[in-house]
Amino acid sequence: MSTILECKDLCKSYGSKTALHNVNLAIESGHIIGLLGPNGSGKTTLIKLINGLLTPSSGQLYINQNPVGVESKKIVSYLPDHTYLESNLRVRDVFSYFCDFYEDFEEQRAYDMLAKLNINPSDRLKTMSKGTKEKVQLILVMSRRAKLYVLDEPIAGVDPAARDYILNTILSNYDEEATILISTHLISDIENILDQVIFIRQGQICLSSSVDAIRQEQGKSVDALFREVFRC
Amino acid sequence: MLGKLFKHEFKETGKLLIPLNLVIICYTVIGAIMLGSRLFDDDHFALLAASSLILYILSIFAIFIVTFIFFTVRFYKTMYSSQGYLTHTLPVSTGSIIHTKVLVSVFWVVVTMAVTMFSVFAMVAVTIRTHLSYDSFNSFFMEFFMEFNEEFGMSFGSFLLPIMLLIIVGCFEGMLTVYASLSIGQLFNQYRILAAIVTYVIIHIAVNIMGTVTMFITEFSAMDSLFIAEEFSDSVLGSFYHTLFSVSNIEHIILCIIFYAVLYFLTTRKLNLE
Repeated sequence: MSTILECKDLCKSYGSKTALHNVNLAIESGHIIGLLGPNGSGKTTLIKLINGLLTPSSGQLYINQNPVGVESKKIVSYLPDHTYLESNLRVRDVFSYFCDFYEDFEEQRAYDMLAKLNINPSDRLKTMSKGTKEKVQLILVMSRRAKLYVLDEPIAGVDPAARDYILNTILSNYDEEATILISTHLISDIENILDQVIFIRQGQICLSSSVDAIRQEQGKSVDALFREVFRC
Repeated sequence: MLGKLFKHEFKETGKLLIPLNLVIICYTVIGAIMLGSRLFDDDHFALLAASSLILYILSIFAIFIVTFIFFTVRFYKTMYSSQGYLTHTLPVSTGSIIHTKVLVSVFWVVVTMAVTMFSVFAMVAVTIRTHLSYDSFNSFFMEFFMEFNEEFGMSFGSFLLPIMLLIIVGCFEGMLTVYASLSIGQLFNQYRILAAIVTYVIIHIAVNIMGTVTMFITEFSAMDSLFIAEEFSDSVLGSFYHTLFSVSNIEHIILCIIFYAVLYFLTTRKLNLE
């Protein structure tokens, strides 16, 4: 197994406010990892740095031994926490866009998933509900054969039935070699699919452990441990 | 990948820019038919003629304003706002993205200008043509070029060339000023659009002051040669004209390079998406 993601003394501050402070992290490939922390703990900042949407204030970040850039973007499939597509586009236009730019995008798989949800490829995004738009974005992200999937709050803001669909889609579309990093604060919903968890608090990693270790050594669920660690 | 970027950028921008240019062409055809039919020779139609002309001028202005706003908003949305999440996670270099955005927007502005110039020229030509016979129509232009040459000591082509160049450089500078201002605005964590607007206004004022100063200095030094020349000849006037435009063109090209460098540096090294 190789290291898919590595952070060395990674720092990011916005003006005088520090969002991430000396983050050191190494993630092995082939796992589903939960990036867990309360609101404002730095989850999204770390994810944006992984995707090159922010520049670190200091420190280094490597994805599959490469710094963030064209090579890393080829193997990272990213689901942001909000809509990021032009609302005027039709679903099939977005699919052809992804087909053009991502070599690992499997168009047929995307159309199959769309058909299962009865979404018409000719529909424009602006005519869709928030939940449907999130599903379309998830289909785009999971139809890639990426090495690292980075999902920022994939289940926030959708109903429990849609949550099940999203989690099933994630599980059924990823292969054993790939790595999934999921950020969320809705832990009980995703606890069952996680292999590892990273707790992040005030821009610092406060725990990085396997889920089995937490259950065996502490005799607690991840949700219970989270509530204990982050008690207000 | 650069080809694909261009393809998608043309496709998305063409959705607005093709119809806008078709509007100008439609106006031209309708205008030319009205002018060619001598409809406006009748005094009764004077009001219609005047209002058509005003409508035409206002529409052209509106089209340019819409184009300018469209590219400004599009650049902000796709580079530094929500859609930037897609733009900057594509496996292409940031440099290629910037090249595509700049070249495609300048292409459309230049095309729209060319279509407008063609439109004005076509209407003028039709007006002259309707009032002159075919032979005199041709000889009108021949005479115009001849007289121009005699009067100013240079061909009409060499008079037009520096102006054309300045227009194209001006299009680049216009778009690059906006894009560089937006790239500075995105550095701020709050009030990013306001910061971009303030930056734009400051750059605009600074560039105008600089332009006036350079123009003044150039005219002043070139004026000397006009007075020193014992005889006020056409060639002196020609060289004065060309010096003026060359200095202006060089100045604007340098500004374009500076704005491009700012845009490139801030987007590749200091990207800060909301």
